[in-house]
Amino acid sequence: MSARAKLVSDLKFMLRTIGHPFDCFYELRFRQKTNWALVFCIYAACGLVAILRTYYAGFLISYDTQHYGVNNWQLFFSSLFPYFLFALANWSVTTLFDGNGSFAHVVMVLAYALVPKLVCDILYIAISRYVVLEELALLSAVSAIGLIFFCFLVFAGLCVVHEYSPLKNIATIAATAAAAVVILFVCMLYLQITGKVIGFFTTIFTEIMKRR
Amino acid sequence: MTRVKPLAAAAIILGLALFATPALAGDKTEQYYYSYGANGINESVPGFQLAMSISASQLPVKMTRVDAISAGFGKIFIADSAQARINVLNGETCEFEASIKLIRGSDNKIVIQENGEQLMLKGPEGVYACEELEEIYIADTAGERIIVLDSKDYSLKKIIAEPSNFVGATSFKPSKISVDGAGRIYFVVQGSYEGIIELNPNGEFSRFYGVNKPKVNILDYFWKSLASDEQKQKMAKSFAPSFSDIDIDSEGFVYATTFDISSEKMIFRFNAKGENVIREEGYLPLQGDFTRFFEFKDTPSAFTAISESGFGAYAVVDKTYGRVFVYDFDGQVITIFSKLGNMKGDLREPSAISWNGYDLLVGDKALGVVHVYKPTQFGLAALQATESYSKGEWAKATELYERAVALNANFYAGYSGIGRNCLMQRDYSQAVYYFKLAQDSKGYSQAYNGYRAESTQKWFPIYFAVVLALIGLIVYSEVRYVRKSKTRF
Repeated sequence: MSARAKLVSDLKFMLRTIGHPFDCFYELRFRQKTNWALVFCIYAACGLVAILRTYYAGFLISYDTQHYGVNNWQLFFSSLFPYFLFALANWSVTTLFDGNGSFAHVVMVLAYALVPKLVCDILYIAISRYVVLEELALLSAVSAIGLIFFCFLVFAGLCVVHEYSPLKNIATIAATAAAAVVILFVCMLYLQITGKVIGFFTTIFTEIMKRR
Repeated sequence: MTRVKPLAAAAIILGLALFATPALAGDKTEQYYYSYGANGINESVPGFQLAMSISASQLPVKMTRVDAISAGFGKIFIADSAQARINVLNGETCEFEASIKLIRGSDNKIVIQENGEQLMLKGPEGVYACEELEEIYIADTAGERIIVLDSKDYSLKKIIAEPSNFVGATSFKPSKISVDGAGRIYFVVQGSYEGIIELNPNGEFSRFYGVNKPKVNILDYFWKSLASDEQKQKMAKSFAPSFSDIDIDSEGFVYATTFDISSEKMIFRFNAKGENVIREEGYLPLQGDFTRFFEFKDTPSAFTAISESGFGAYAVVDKTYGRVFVYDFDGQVITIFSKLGNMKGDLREPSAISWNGYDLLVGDKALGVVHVYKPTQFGLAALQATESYSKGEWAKATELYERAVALNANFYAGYSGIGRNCLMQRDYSQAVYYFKLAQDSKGYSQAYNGYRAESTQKWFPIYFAVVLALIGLIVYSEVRYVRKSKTRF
């Protein structure tokens, strides 16, 4: 199969995942159908959509028309951070709860599940330019549909990759939330302490400079 | 694989360390002139500047406290409760004219009371010059009475003591006073939780008016719902926050303010029924300073006085940071100025505010000083634009708004004003442009609705053609599909 034909078939498979999540995630997980380049492209698109939203969403969504102090890299990574955190937390929890999926599998599930959400988000950005205040509620339904679809696909995907029953899956997702909080707490602690240490050395440095 | 993991971990830790920044002092928002917009604090051009200060050294009498200021009949009346005087100054030159302490009758003789004593002010905390009735109302707080004087020779017209039908737990100690065109007297008593007191023109008690709602604390509500009646009696009651100052606008609506931080709202405009009808169309509620935008501020603003300008704009003064906030009728910030401090024009304990034309008089209780602030070019343009707009002179208002915006590009209420005028003239695309600059979502929404309807009408044939083509395409593909399947089977 040529590279181009493979890409086309992978893309088709990606779209099929939306309609048939259980079958397709099974194939992605156990028959090595995952296209890792595609996974990274989806994450990149996700970050890109976050940036697009800041610049091109309608006035009623983002009042900021001048975009002072917008940091594209920060937007990009901060929009991906929740998925990374979820993947990390879920992988750590499921390792303890006899889950068979690896970190890479969770990352893959999240990426393939993001596809409908991304489509809805792009629609949301496009439509938001043409709405008035009263229609804003309808508009938010568009993004809500994307979010619900995403959640369902993640649920289905995690069931398949970890070989879990639905109930156990729900329990581990709840535990994932707790684990995410713990991870965040440790990160904050680390950042605080590093800040203190850096501040300490900066002070020493300025002291020495001034006493010369 | 075993060597990759520590490397990756080290990379992550280093990456996180890049995000850690040492805490640095310094607040770039700690600037003197600013206003509030959709993004928080915006730099602003000064709207008012100090023209002069009136203190005891310029007056032949002592002035140690300033409790209330009222401007009217081309004069300025300053209530001083410590010296028990009302000082009268010329409204234009701010020169001393008279000082009222002993009250004289129309025959120019000192009034002798029934108990044989001369009628003398005991400690007035409020004064109001009522131009419609040509009367001066003095709230003699320590004397527990209201004294009404003639505006020309300051002779006694009447004394209003506690009315016989006065009810409630509030004591009759009128502090800040206002009178409407029909002669109805409104006054507040410091610390009263029953609201503003309204008296009929003949001095009879009418009603308590405009009760202030306290903030509801969910936790308190929960505990109180569990508590028994006996427990409830022992709990601290939450009283309605008292008002600190009132003023009446030209339409008879009562403006009031409070410095009680337990109050839900800080600035009020009461209609005849006593409902708060103030417009809060700005980005942020009418609360003065927003401490979340500052690094070194954590207590909210506490308004001690309010004054309505006669054309919809009103000014409040805050004692926490010594700031004067000027809002327009919609509740958008026009300008913010002054501060607590020891420099010229600074305040220590602001207690009174009054408009004198476009000038603002701010009284300080602790310093015994009245600062006269005059509007700058920008301030004047903004105020006059607000005035023209409230009078319905749209074209003039737009011109003035444009001037104000030219002088201060961060004057959002100005962009809003220009946008509103464009909207009225059905120039939707211009209106959309200005409302976007003003970051005014309501205005934008109205303007965009018009713009969208207009452009839909204009491009309707093309929309129609596209929809027709789509329908045609679907029908064609269906027909082809059916024909194909017929040939197949």
